[in-house]
Amino acid sequence: MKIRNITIKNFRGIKELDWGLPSSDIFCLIGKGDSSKSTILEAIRCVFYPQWNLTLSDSDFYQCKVENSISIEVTIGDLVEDFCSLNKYGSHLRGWDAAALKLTDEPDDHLERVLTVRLTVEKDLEPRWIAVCDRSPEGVPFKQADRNKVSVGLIGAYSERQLSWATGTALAKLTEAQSLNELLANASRTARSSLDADRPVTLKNFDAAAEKSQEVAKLLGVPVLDTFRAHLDLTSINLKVGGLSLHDGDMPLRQLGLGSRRMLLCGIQTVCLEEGHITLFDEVEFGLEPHRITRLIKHIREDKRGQYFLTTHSPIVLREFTVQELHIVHNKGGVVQIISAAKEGFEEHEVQGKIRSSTEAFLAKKVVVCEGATEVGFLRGYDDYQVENKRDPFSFHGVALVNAGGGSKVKGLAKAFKSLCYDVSVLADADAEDQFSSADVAELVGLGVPVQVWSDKLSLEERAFQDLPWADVLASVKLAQDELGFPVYDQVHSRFPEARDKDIGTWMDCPQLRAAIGGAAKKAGWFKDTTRGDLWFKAICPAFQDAAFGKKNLALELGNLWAWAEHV
Amino acid sequence: MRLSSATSGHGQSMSETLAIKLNDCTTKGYVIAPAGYGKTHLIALAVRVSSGRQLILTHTFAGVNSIKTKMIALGVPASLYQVDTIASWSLRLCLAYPKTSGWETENPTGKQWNKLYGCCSVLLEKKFIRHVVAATYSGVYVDEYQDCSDSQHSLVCALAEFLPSRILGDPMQAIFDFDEGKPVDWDTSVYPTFSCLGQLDTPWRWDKEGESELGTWLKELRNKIEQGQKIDLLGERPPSVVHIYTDPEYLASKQYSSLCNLLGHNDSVIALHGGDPQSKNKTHLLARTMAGRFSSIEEVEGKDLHLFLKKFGAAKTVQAGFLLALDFAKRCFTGVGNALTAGTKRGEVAKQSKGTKYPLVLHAANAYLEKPTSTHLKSFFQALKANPETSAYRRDLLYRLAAAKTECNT
Repeated sequence: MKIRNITIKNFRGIKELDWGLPSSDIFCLIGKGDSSKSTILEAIRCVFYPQWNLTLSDSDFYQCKVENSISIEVTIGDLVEDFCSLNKYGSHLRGWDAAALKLTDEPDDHLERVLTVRLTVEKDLEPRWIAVCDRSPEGVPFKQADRNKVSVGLIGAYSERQLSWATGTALAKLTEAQSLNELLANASRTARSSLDADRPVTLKNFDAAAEKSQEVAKLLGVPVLDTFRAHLDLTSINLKVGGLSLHDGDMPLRQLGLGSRRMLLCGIQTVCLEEGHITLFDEVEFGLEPHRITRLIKHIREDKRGQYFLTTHSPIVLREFTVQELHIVHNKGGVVQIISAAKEGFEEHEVQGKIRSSTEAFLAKKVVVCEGATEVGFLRGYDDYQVENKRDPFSFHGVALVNAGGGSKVKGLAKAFKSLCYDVSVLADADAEDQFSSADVAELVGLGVPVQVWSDKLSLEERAFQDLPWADVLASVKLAQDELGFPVYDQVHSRFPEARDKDIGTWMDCPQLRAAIGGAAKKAGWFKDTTRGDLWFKAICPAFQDAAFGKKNLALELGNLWAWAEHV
Repeated sequence: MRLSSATSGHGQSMSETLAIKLNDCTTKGYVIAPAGYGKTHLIALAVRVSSGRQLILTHTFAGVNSIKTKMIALGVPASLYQVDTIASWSLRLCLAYPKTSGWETENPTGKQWNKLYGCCSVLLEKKFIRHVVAATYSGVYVDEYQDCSDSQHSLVCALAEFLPSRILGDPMQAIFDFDEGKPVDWDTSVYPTFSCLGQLDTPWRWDKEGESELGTWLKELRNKIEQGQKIDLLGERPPSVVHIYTDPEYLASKQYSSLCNLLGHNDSVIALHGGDPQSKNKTHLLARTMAGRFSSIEEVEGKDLHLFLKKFGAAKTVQAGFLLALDFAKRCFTGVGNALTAGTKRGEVAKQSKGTKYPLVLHAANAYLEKPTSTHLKSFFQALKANPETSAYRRDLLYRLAAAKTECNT
């Protein structure tokens, strides 16, 4: 069976969520930490909780407000015949339009037959499961046996139990009906008789004490039917179903490394469940090396019987998935939105390529689309500078920097991220109208994307060399010449013949020279990769202590960007 | 005559062969089976060898009960069948998908039923419904097929599109011009499209009771009618067939005395009132005259019960509701007045005094008036039933009330 729609109300960090799932078997949920990805997995698990007792507490309610009851509705399709029977839920079926991702209360022949299961928890903390539809709002109980049939398995951080035969585990389902309780009871009896075997030796002292007690009993008139002896009390030998667990030789497999354990679990879940399964995998990368991640995901992709929900914070995992499989989770004040990275109309933005090249950005909350490597490096340096001045870094604010790789690509990339509901800001040059026009700027601003471009249609280098205090200009030029090895003198001289002295330190401040340096830096690409951009910023950062510089366009635009990063 | 319930020495091998044939049928088939020839028995045998759940449809609740009883008697596992009336089965299915079926009325009456069957047939055209129905049942049996209306027949045909459907009945037993609508015409609707699976030809019901002579006589009459010959009811006949003659003016007293003559033993007696739908009330009246020694049977739709429940549900006060219930009780029992105190009759919580003849009834009434739950109402009716003054003459109506109350509670 496969999940088609999920609605959640007041469950943990989620106040509200309504998610229509596209037809797919793999859902990789990404998004910034605390966007409640794991809560979504947990919600699915609760609705199809395989045991009868699900323990919940006040903290499972959104903001601990128990007066707002928890309601989780999961609509499943690809139903087993049994569920369609009139004796089960045949009168409660609904219709799912996979193209429009729309639920209709009654099925029809062009719709998929689906069933909505609702878990509600009110302040009595008592979970109630019903199969429900608008025609029958009071619903019918969705029983434990049927919850079990949906075969939802969560592979989370703590899953030792999963490698045992406890109720609802994949191993238990895989095992043909056999009364384990009887086996365990026999085991207890055997334990008792094996203790008996060598009684005169092993239990000598215990039996001596028993004999004394017997004498006391007789003395007091307590009836003694046979003789008092030391025996194992069967009720206190605690052999439980969950105690039967998977071993390799004598070693319990729970002692395997975390990664291996999780991989094995996933494997058991997929291979064995004939009827299909829904596997929830929280933080796929947890405990796995990159090559094992690749293998695991390959395994998942080959399994056609199951539906997978995974969460990840790892760029390595992210790169393994296609856009169709990626879903971005946004949580704004409890209102959660899940957006497919393969949303229609995204083709033009080549999201897939973006994921490969800008993986980290997809794991962030806010994205700064930078025109080129210079901007990215420059902003990294700026970030370090801010941290030194006791400010929180970009990463704290969930900001990632993306290199658009050219002015012509800025708009597309910014729009792509914006349409995936990221907060987006742009840092670009305004020096080439054919690459990134003022109309483009206006369009982005109209979409709610703040755009930082330098005034007077200048590039970053040109702007910087206009605005920086002279000392920092010279420091930059020296950096380009000495550290980065550019023929700085030649390049500037050809643009501004008056700069004759080969000793750069002697150059005097004048607007023409500033323009020449800016032009040369841009043309020759002095700072045109992230490392050099970073170094450049470090060279000029003293300028930011300069009050006059603070009023210049360069500083102002950077300040705007920072304010956005901190406050949006 | 006694209604049989026990298993017995039927010609097992023959019935069983036919039962297997019914079970193996994958399309549409019919069995001609006159009354008393072991139809229910055959269905039960066929269901017993089924590997999946069978839907068994009939027309009346009495029919449903007798099939269920037979199933239990033959040890057919309950998981292998569901017995229902065509009416309530199709009503439930239509109400489960009101938009698709176009049906929303929960209590259809009169001509609405035919519309319901139409809606249900249309609903059964839907693939998803076929899937649901096929996921629930692996085949259909329809009993007493001669009582099917044309719209019910269309419904069965819609089911037969995707489920093996076996119908059993006796075209000779069809009742024409009863209420409205004529029964299904076997010549045009059944024979051309359903294949014959067999015919039952042993009148087991009479053979078992040692009345083979009566069975044979009835069978001969049936054969004659089938061949379009005249029959002579006054001619040679077995001793168990008795004619009683009377002039119309003495009919009532003759009915009474004849019925009284039939008492005094432990077997059931069934008295049929001849005539049109009007005789329903005459039947109730006769049953009342017989002071509960005969109990009349309600019509299928259960109008009286429905009317009462509707009024009862709309009653504004507990007292008004109680008085309605009292009225209803008077229509089910004789001697209700004698069992109640004056206060109770007025719908008041009455005190028990020395003169109170039946404190149990009084307490039950008070309990309801103080806390009007369906359990208390049920207890009140039970107290009335147990009371020596009263006797129930519309037991069927009472059972249905109890059943309705139970259903409300679950």
